[in-house]
Amino acid sequence: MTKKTDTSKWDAQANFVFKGVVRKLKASTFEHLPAPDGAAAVKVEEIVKAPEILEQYAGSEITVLAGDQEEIRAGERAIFYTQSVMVGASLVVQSLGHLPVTAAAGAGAAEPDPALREQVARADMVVTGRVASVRTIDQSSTRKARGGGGESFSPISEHNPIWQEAVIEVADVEKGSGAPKQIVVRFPASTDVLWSQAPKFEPGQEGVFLLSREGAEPAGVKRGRGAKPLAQKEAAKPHYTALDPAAIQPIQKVEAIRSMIRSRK
Amino acid sequence: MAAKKAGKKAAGAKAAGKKAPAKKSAKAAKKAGAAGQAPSASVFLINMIPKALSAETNQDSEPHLTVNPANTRQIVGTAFTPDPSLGPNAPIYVSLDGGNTWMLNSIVPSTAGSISGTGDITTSFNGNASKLYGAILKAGSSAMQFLRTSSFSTPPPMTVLKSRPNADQPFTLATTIGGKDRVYIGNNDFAAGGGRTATIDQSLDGGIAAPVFQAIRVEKRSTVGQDGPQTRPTAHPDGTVYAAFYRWRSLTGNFQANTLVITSADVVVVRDDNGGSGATPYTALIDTGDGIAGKRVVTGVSFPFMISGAAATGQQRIGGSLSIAVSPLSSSTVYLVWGNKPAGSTGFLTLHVTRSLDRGKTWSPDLLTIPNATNGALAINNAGKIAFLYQQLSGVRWVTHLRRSTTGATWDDLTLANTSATNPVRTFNPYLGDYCHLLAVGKDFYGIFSASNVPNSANFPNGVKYQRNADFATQRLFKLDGVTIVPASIDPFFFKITE
Repeated sequence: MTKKTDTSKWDAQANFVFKGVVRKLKASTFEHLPAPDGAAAVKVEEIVKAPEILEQYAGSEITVLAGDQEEIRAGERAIFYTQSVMVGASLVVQSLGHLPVTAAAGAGAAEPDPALREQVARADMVVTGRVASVRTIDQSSTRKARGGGGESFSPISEHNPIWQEAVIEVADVEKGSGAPKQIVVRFPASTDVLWSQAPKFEPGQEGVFLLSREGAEPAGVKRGRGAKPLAQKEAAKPHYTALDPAAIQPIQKVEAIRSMIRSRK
Repeated sequence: MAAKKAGKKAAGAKAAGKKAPAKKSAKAAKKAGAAGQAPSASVFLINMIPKALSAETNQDSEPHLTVNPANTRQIVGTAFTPDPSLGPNAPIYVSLDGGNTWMLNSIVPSTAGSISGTGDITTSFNGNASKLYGAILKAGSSAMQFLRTSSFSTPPPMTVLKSRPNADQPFTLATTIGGKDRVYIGNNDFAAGGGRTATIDQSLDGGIAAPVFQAIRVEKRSTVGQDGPQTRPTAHPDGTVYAAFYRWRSLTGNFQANTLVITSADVVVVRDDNGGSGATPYTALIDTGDGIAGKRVVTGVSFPFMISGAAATGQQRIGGSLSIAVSPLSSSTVYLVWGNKPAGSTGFLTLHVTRSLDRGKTWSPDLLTIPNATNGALAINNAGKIAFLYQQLSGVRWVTHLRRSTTGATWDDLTLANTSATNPVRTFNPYLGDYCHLLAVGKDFYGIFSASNVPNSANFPNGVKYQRNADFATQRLFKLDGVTIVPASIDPFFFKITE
């Protein structure tokens, strides 16, 4: 009985998956790039999964770097699971693994949206709901002029996250414990390059929220003058953050997400 | 009128991969009535986006550059550019033919899915490009990391030599002296005690298997709680190292509300005469005013420190600007550009170029004063010629200038780019970058800046080459299919001035 290869991990990590045939071993398709032992020139016959920007390499020969313990054979036709490394006149990819075409036929259909599946798997709490309100909590960048009165100084950087809190009214808890009516999510309101990708919550926003549990206070949060101190019980509660762009999903995806959650139980 | 005619003529041809050789651009400039251009200079300017990435629309801002001093065909550029497949490593731009063609090599530690690739990034070759050093704020964690590779043009990721949190704007400079790599990384380290955050992390033997980096606190005076983010080093082969930084003394307003103003800052220059070695590095230059190490070139300057750019600043956040360069001819000669908002001025920042001929002890009055400008960068070639790169907001246009002088008294003025400050709309801050970069190798100057990529010949009075699909006749960008229009975005541009 043939053992099926589990390609789900490769599929989740690979950003360029294609069917190809190995033309030459120890070869490179970039003029200046020396060909180490594990490099092979592979013709891309059919693209299975790729960002639009890499679709141009369909029909071209590219350089595939074999992974650790991976053996690529001359003339082999396979589905390659790879990550792009060098982009220019040609393409160099790092292979995560490959499956000969005949074996690939029995490997089962590729999972839909593997990246979202990974995100759901990593989330500590998944809820559907609506953002009721958003409040500012990081007072660390409010500074008085020197001599204005004894405030301790917190560093000012163009990369400060500017933490805010979104209060979500929970409709359903899809993953996680308890049945909270509200959940507070901390998110960076900054549009700096380091934080611009993190989702920004707005009152009235509805969706499926994939949340990560943090400790009692995220690093860098300061409660400045004028902000009410948290009650001890409240301060001891874990808080949630949502820093990944995929952390807010449209409500239309709830059934797909429920299916992903069920399949892992 | 002449400019319009010349622009139309130039736009008459599809410009994908079109090169504008120096002679032609000088002729075209003449036809266009571009007064002030230096006809003898050879200007090569190229949009660095590879043809394969013609569909990209990223905001590739905050560029930096390094050139192999032993082989100027080898060049590395960096910007906020994501991996084309949003993979786990961010790319550097690599050219192996002197800047004529570029590719991306994803070797910078990052996090999968990052749309900017990395946070702050700067790189520097050692003396012969046997090593490329770099420093980043890593996407995802924001940790400051020092990096190195022995093979910048091949796939293996860069090695992380050191990592620590809570620092800002690492600025890398590497050189090779006596067979050893000296690596200087200026940064603003919030972990420093007493608010003395201006720091140079240095390794005096960066090429060994496990180099040690020492954090040198170059701020010796009290501050409001920190120094500014810019700590910029420059080094001479004789072992002299200078660094410039802003000492913040007072501020007012609210950073979050975008009203923060540094009300009083000093521009400080420090110096070391032995490459940073010794028991008390960077204390060779004493300010006679207070007897403390670090010459206060100017005191009590003021400028905004913005969290986000505004229409009035061309979408660019403003927070000061610093660059310093030592002359290869004499380590006693050093040039500095610094920025402030002078009292009563309506502009957002004025750049001042000044010079010292006595190792930083005394400084000249302004050699150049540029209003409404940012991202100043200086370099000096092996003939002692000074070049000054900056980006100036003129109405709703960002104009990228390169000024050159042999004496500091009179300067020419090359317009490298005159591009829209409103198209595209900003995706994140910073819009163009908190810096651009300029350097000299031998007699020639090499530089990099970011700007709007609309393919309009009139935007590039000294000519430009595009690798990505661009039609200068219709002023449109296209995907590789040649049909699908690609919206404008911010791209990095490389240039070389052949002296």
